[in-house]
Amino acid sequence: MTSWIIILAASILSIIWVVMFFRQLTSGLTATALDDKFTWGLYVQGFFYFSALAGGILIFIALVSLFEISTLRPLAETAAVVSFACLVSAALLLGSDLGKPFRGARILTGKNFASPLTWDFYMLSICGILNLVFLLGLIPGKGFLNMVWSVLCLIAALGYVMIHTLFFLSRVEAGFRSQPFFGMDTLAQSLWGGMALVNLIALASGYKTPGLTTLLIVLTVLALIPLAGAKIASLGSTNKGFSQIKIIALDVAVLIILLLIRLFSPGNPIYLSIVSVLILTAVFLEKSHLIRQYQRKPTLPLPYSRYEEVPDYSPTLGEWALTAGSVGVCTLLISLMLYLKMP
Amino acid sequence: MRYAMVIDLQKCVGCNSCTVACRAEQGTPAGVHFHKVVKYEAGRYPNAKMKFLPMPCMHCQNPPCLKVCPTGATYQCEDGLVLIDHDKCIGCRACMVACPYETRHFLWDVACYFDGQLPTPFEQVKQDSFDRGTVVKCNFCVQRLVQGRLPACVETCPSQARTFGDLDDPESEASRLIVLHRGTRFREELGTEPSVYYIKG
Repeated sequence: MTSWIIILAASILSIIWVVMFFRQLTSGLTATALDDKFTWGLYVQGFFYFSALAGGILIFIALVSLFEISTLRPLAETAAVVSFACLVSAALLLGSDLGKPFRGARILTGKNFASPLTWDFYMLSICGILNLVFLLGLIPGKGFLNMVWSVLCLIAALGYVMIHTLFFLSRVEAGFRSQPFFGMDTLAQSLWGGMALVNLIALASGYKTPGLTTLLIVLTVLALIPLAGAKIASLGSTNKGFSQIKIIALDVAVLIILLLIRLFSPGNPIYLSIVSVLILTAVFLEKSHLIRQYQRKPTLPLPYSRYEEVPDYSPTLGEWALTAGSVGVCTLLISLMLYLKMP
Repeated sequence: MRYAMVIDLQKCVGCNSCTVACRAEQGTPAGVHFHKVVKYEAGRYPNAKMKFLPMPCMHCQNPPCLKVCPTGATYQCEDGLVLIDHDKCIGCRACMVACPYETRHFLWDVACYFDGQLPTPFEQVKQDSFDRGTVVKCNFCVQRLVQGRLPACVETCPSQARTFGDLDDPESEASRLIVLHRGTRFREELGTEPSVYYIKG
């Protein structure tokens, strides 16, 4: 019964996505709250979010395959469905954000390898193909082919997760060791979110994963370190960075909850589900904050830029509907694929 | 050959003639200004003073917009001009995010100047080349340069605050002014190497 309610809700959201997407195609991006000062909004935030989740899950699947952990193989196979749906969702959101979505394939022919978007497109496409191959059951649980697939998947998933860092580096000469917290933050958030989703899949499917709570604690610490580091690095800045403190506070709260679960109620599915949803929320807030923060750049020369108004952005109802719609498409895809996978 | 523009901030009176001339030459849709004059207040009352900063595209020699463009729609000519091939632009706006000068514009819509009316004959002719969903910017009036004419903003400036010329030619007026008045470039520390120089003549 519950699964049918989910499918119905996902179908309605998918229809909303189709309607909103075609509405946007005819009216352009004028229906969004974006402007020349705030050019990347909810769609790009969603793109980074879903691709980060897919990356985290794919890294998990690649490691399970590489180390041939047969007990986790069924969980990895189910997780592959979710990662594929996340990749599709990310692609839908990126497509929704383009001014000319039907020209998207030009990224392949553009061959500008200095552009992070080019690398992102190539790596995401490779990940999508590898994920699909795994889903179709073409990769055996052991042997040479399994090893080659695992290594390729690991490279492609880690590759695009790290490429997402490039979007936020200095625009001219990034420098080999510039901005040390971005790389770790991007990777940690991806693994953290991905494993929270894997945890939810395990809970929903009834797989036993005793070490997952401990792994989530480790990943929470890993996610907290770059955030705290970046906060310490910006302590002298005039920017108050209130949102950043809120994100750090949420991460700390997740860590405390996870420790309490580990100590007093290990394996409690309700608490673990709640904490997983909190982690997914924290990852979205971090991606959202990252993109918002990056676009707050002054135009005027110093010292006048200090008094310049910071561009503000709050997504329109249409943007929320389209984003929710792409989540609906993602859920519908998961449901259909799981249904087809069933014996 | 490397085109450069020299703007004398001492002579600029903030009249926005350059903005209007640019719009007339390029026929940009309503709300899109390839050339803006940023106004800001320096000091505090009673010693406040209005300052003006004309901001065309800087046509950087190390352009960040060129690097991030995934389709190669943004390209650089041998004479230093940074241009956009609108047929290749997918409207990802990565160039806008990368540009530190905010001189690029996304065509959210190709709007007419007069709300609720049909486009004027001028708009019909000029706006034909604008494609909604792509990024546009100042091109140093390349269509005029090939005819041996100066960019519209340079030609129209009533206070003659602008000089346009070849930076590779040490005898050109632009080179001479840069040397004479120690021309500086906006946000030079970023390493973008802009082709627009500001002087206080």
